[in-house]
Amino acid sequence: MYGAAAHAPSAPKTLVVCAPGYPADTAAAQPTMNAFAKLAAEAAGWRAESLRALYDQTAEGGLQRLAAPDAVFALVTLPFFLQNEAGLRLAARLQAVQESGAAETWSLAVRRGRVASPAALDGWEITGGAGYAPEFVRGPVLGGWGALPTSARVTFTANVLSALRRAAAGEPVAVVLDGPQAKALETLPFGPDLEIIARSDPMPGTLLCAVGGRLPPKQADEFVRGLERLHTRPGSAEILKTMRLLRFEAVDRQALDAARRSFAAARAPAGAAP
Amino acid sequence: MRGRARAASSLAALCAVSLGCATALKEPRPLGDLAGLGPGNAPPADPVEIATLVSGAEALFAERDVDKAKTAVLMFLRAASADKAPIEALLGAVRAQVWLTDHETDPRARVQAAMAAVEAAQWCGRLAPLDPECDYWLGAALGVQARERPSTGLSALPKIEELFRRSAQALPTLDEAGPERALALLYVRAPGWPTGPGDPDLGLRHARTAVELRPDYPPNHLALAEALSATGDAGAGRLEYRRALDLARAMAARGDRDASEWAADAEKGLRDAGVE
Repeated sequence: MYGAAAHAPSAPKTLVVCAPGYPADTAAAQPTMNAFAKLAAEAAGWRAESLRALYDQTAEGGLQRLAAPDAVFALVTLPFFLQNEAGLRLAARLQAVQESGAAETWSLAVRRGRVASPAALDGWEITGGAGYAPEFVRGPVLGGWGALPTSARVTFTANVLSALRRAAAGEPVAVVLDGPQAKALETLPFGPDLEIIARSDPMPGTLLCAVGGRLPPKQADEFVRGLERLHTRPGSAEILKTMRLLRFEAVDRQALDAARRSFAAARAPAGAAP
Repeated sequence: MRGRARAASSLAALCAVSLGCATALKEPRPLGDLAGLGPGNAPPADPVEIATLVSGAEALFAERDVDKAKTAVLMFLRAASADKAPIEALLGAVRAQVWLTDHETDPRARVQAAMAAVEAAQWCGRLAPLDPECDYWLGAALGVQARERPSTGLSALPKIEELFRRSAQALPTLDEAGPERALALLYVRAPGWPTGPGDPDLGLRHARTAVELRPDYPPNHLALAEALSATGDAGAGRLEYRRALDLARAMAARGDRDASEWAADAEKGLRDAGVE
């Protein structure tokens, strides 16, 4: 049984875009969201005004917006997805191909020569834009490297540059970086003082999800098919570029399942079977 | 000193941009076209007429009314289109257009005002390339254009940063420490490393400098409050919002026409910061 009666074909539908730790805020992003919603609706064969899009740069704000019954789709980062997949009944339908690629590889940066193993992070702060989902950091990001000490605190910061400065200055801080950040590390004046000590497996970066089965499957499929060919439509390049996207494509299910398993293992109480 | 510029509310909106790819700077239209001078409508030639146009436009803009500001823009530009017009005419046009970008209710009118502000500021820089006010106001105009046309943000941000840095070096007290205040907001609000120049720590340093240069100017305290909040010191941020509010209320009581907007910004900042 899907959604409320409110989701008749003509009912207003909302796409919630949520990327904690990334630039812009709701008001600043709205012109871009309006243009994207119009483009996406038209690609689905819907009336342009039948879809609206909203951006929220905080996890709390994104959750609040997704709780509203008109929220039928979500474009969210992988940590947000894993954290809320069950609670919001998110169904991953597509992955966004960003300018840096569809797959994201996460890294951990520390002051050069200070950390040789996960155990050395005893009492440290591990911070970054993905830190709002500590299980994501302990699992998909660093699980392959080893288990973090329970005394290590995972925190969120949108100000990764400041965290890197603290790490370079010798504070007990390790910084979780996304792909573009890790790539740009050497461009920083204090980059030589830092080193990457762990890298995750590649995993999806941003996912387009149906929310709570609120939309009838036929409409959801129309929308997904429209997004898959969105990049071929006139006028789409500038809007996608503004969102730092190239196109949408099918989800890498294998990589997503691996991230899901690792996340679940990190979330499980100590001693529980993975 | 040239007329007090009052870019605060405009610059408060600066850099609320996402990154896009459209070109922020294009060849500006001829000044006569910007001024709306048609065939048979020659620019003024008499210096007295030019001076009268500029002072009249200043008086109209000082009222901070949308329709009067539009008229002021046309008067400034008409004066600016004359041979040997004072650069104040172009600067006045940019200031008024930037202000209009913040106060027009119609989004299309805001976009038009922002684009026209950029064009007038480009002429300012061409006619007075060493004038730091031209740099400063071109930076402000590009900032509001980036807000209204997010697709221009990518090409605009490095230019905005360069313009404000240059004006901060040449004339740091311009517009009540405007270049330092603008740099503070740029670094606090722009997308962060590695996507953009955003760097809240650096923004905080510029906000402190702005307050040191002009401690009685409310927008400098608003910028410092925002920078403190962005760098994790919410308590000190609240104190700065409170200082900004007190200063703005005092200025509003003395008849300052911009102060009530600063007070409203400070009240919003305090609300957003939550209860201590």
